[in-house]
Amino acid sequence: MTVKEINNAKSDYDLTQASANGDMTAFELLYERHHRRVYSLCLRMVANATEAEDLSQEVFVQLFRKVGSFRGESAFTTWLHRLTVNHVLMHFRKKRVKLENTTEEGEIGEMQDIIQAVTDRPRFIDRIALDKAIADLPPGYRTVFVLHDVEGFEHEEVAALLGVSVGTSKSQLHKARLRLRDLINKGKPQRGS
Amino acid sequence: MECKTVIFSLSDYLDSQHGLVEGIEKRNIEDHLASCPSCRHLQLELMEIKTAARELPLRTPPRALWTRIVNEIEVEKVAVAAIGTVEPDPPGLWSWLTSLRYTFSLPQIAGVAALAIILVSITVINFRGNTNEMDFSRLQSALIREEMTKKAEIDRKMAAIEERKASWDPAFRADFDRQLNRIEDSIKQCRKNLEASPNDLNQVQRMLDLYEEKRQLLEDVERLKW
Ligand SMILES: [Zn+2]
Repeated sequence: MTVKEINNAKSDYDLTQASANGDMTAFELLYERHHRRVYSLCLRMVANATEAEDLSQEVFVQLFRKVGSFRGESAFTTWLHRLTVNHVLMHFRKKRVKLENTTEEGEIGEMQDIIQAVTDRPRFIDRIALDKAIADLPPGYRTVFVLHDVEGFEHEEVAALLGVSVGTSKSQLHKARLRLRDLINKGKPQRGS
Repeated sequence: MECKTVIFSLSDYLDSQHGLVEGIEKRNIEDHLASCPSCRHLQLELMEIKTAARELPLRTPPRALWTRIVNEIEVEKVAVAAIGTVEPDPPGLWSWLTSLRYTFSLPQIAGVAALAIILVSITVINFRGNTNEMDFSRLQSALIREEMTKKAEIDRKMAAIEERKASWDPAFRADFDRQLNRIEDSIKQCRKNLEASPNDLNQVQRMLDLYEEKRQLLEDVERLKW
């Protein structure tokens, strides 16, 4: 067995226990395994690379402090995921980012746009375009969309995390998807130009 | 069923494997989608967004992130080791401020990292019991430089805060003054100890901690933007 194989054979739980005892090699391995997920989640939620790096750093420092309290009842990824989401939401609260974005924009006007825009639908949504469009969403829509559609939280969980009703979470998600669709379509090269 | 009604329910419909839209409503939506190309197109586009969202590629942060994390953990370890000599924080403003703590900007990280390196080297020298005069004087001058940088930053922050202080809530102002006085008193005490025994590295370290604590307090207050 190579060192790498031995490392890979260690479960996340083993690594958390070793990290809790101050083993930085184990902690680095945990970092190697999970930092891209943590960073991606932060990046999609805040839509700013510097902020996402700062937040990821804070999450891992906090992880180091708390890692001993991971008891292995849930998957480590789920646990870390929650830690990350909570940390980003705390960051929003400090920055007073308005999450409940039930906007005043006219539903009817929006409907007209939607119906007009559906003609000549492009076949494929490019993931890079989607990623970019997510970054352009207002923070409230973006948070709900990232939590529900990207990260797979249920509406009940999203509502609890954000302190809003399930109905709000659903309507925010719907508006977020409609807005994304607009942003993606606007970002596409116009026909004939 | 009107387009408007269908559009309104489309997300619920798309998520309906979770039983959000059932029975008659579901049938009505499906009937409408079968006969309305616009709504069907919209449905397909939203479906694509929903599917693509689950398949977004992971992004990779810069390599330096790990170094930053390790540095901060080292700083914390040293701080925790030093806490034995620090009286517990009074509750209230202070605990609230400390909860605001862990957001460092890049220059701050650089500063903290520099401090960490000095503190770690103090610990190492202490541990080895190396009392070589040269080491002490080198370390002392490094600490003086560090102290001066911190002092300059603190003075700048303090001047800015003094200007705004008058408009603060009186309870908050009293709390702030109390915190500040506590740190000032400790600094004075520490300076006295240092005068008595200039080579006491624990005192030097404590002094730096106190400056850092003061800087952090001012910075937290600054962030409040009152
Ligand atoms: Zn229709």
